[in-house]
Parts: sequence; structure tokens; C-alpha cells
Amino acid sequence: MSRENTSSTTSGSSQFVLPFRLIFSTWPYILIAFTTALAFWIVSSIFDQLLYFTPIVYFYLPEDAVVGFILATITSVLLGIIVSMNIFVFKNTRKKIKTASFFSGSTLGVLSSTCASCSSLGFLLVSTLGAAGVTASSLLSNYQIPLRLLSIGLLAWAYYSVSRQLMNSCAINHKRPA
Amino acid sequence: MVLGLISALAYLQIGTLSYFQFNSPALGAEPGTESAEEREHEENTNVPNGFSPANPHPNASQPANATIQNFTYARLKQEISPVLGNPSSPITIIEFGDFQCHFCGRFARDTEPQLNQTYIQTGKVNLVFKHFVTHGSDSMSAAMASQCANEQGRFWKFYELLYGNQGEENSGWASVDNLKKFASQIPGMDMTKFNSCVDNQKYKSIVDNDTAFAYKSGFQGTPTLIVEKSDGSDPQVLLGAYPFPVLQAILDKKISGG
Repeated sequence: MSRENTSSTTSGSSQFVLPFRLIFSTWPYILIAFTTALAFWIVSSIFDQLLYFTPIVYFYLPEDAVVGFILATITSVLLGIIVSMNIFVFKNTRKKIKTASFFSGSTLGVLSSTCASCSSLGFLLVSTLGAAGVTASSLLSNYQIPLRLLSIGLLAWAYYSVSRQLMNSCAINHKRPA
Repeated sequence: MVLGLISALAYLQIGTLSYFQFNSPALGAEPGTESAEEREHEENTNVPNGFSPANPHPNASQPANATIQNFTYARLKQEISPVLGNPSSPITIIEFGDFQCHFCGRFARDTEPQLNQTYIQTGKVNLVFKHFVTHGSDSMSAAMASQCANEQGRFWKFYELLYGNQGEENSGWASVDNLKKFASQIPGMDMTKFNSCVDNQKYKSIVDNDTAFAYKSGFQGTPTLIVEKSDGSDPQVLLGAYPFPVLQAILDKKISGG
């Protein structure tokens, strides 16, 4: 009984660590993760009006943007890791990639990066949906932080899901009779 | 696929953030003869300035260049817009903003004070405010109320108060009652006159015209800044709460004639 418990605990913690170690022990996957995270970070920083390229390259972090920036950076890192893991799964296993949580998480991350009603996205909503568009863009704008947290939650779920897929493909079924 | 999604969204936003130039000299504050009045945050001067769109109905789908090129001075209707600084400064910045927009708030809190100190107080630049109401009915009330404050020469104090106390969009912080409370905090404000002005929606047509012009010009967000020479030439449109160092680079280039 105690052996079973130990085994279960080990498998629980390693379920998240082992796939990470396995995938990020090779340079191509590190590079993919880094590039994806950087691309998303740049996009979200542009959306947040923190990063400018013309006429000078300039990044600044005003007080009102600190929390959002931290969450967007976490989202970027998670996104990079998950994209890289999904590519690994696609190339090395026959398993079908579960994309729902990944895509919803990344899309939410991008959407919540915008102050919707200040940007072209909000204008698109307002011009196509009228009063409903105003409400929708206000919601996106007012609930930016909770949406970003939700986005991180979805990406964390995507990470868990991919890790489990990878571990299950190598798992030993202890209940199987010898 | 993910990168495709990111690229598409980046294109959507980068397209609006990058600055571009209009060819027409039709847009701009008319140079006035008054000198800027000195006060802590600079006094606004009521200078006839502005424009009236040919078509009062917003139409964001029209190309920006075509719309602005149709605006010749002959077609401009005289309007009262708040001006910060000397109207005869060589460079004019026209800000199209909404009092409920968070990026406009960031511009007002972070960039505008530095802009004021470095360029406006020194007479190099003046700042004109135009309304671009996009955030709902409270934004409209705030815009009209700000024009009522402008009527009493207190627009910029009101601007500072609203952006300094900005709340969530359409949460009621900019309701008519709250706007009156904000106005009552401004020393010297004639509240009877202000309340009557707000209740009668005295400046609704001005706010509508500014907003319609912004839509018709294809402006895609707030704040939109137009940086131009005081004769209206060489207008450059910028979208976003540009931080001071970036705006400084643009202004220095414009001042040096680059």
C-alpha cells in the first residue's frame, strides 16, 4: 500500500517535470519556445502601448500597466512552452494534439492584452455591433486582468494536458496482471 | 497556426499604431494672435479652431486621406476648441480623446505634464483637444461638460481632474452628477452657469462634429494625435498614448524641419 502511494506521488510530480526536461533538453525546442514567447511578448506589449519602434525603439512601463504586463509576460512564457511541447508531441508521438485549451488560452491572452475600446478591435466591435459592441468592448477593457488570469489558467490546463499525454504514452499499467 | 493568429492580431494593432502622414494641409488649428496666459497648468485660450465634417454621420470605412483632403479651410466651420499654450506656436498637436479611454488617461497623466513643461510652456508647441466619443453615453456627457468648463476658461483643470479620477468604463464615474461634482472642485467655476450648460447639452453639436470628423477621417482609436505645423501643413497622425521620449523625438524632428 505504502509502495503504491509513493509510486503515485512520484508519478504526480514527475508528470509535470519530466516532459519539460525531456523536451527542453534539445536546442530546437528551446529556440521554438523562446521565439514564440518573444513574439507574443512583443505583440502584447504593442497592444498595451508599452513598446514603440518608431522613430525610436522605446519600452516603458507606466504604473497603470504593471499588473497587466506581469500577467502578459507569464502568458507569453507559458505560450512558448506549450507551442514547443505541442510540436514535440506532433513530431514524436502518434497522439492527436488537444488544442482547445491552448487556443482559447492564447486567444484570450491576446484579446485581453488590448484595451479593446481604445484600439481598432473596439472600433470594429462598435462599428459592427453598435450598442452591443460598446458593451462588449467595455467588458474586454474593464475585465482585462481577470481575462488574463483566465488565459493563464487555460494555458496551465493546456500544459497539464500535454504533459499527461506525453507521460501516458510511456506509462506502465501497474494493475495489469503479470 | 498560432503564429498566424498572432501575426494577424499584430498586424491589426501595428497597423493602427504606426504613424503615417497625410498630404493635405487642410487640418489644423488656426493661428491666433492671443498669447498664452500663465497659470500653474497653463491657461486655455478660446481660439476659433476646428472643422465641420461634410457628412455629419460617422463613416469609418472611408479612406483617411480622401476625407482629410476634402477639408479645405474654406469648408471649416468656426468652433471653440480648448487650446493649451500659445496659439501661434510653430507646432500644434491636436489630441482626439475620450475621457473614459484608459490610454487617453495614461497620455494625460504621464505624457502631457512633460510635454507641457518642455514644449508648451516654452512656446514651441500648443495642444488642442478634440472629442472622439467612442466609449458610450458617459463619454458624451463628459465631453459636453468639458466644453462647458472650457466656456469658463477651465478646460485643462477639468481635463486633469477627469483623467486623474478615471474609473472603469461606463461604471458611472463620469455620470452627469459626478461631472458636476468634479467641476465644483475647480476654484472659480460658476456652477450655476456650468450646470445649466451641461443640462442643456449646449455643446452637443461640437462634440458630435469632432467625433464625426474623427470617424470620417478613419482614426482607429483613442487617443489619436495629429502633429502638424501651425499653418496646418505636414500633418502626421499618431495613434496611441505615446510616451514622452517618443513624442519628443517626433517633435524635435518636426521643429528642426526634418
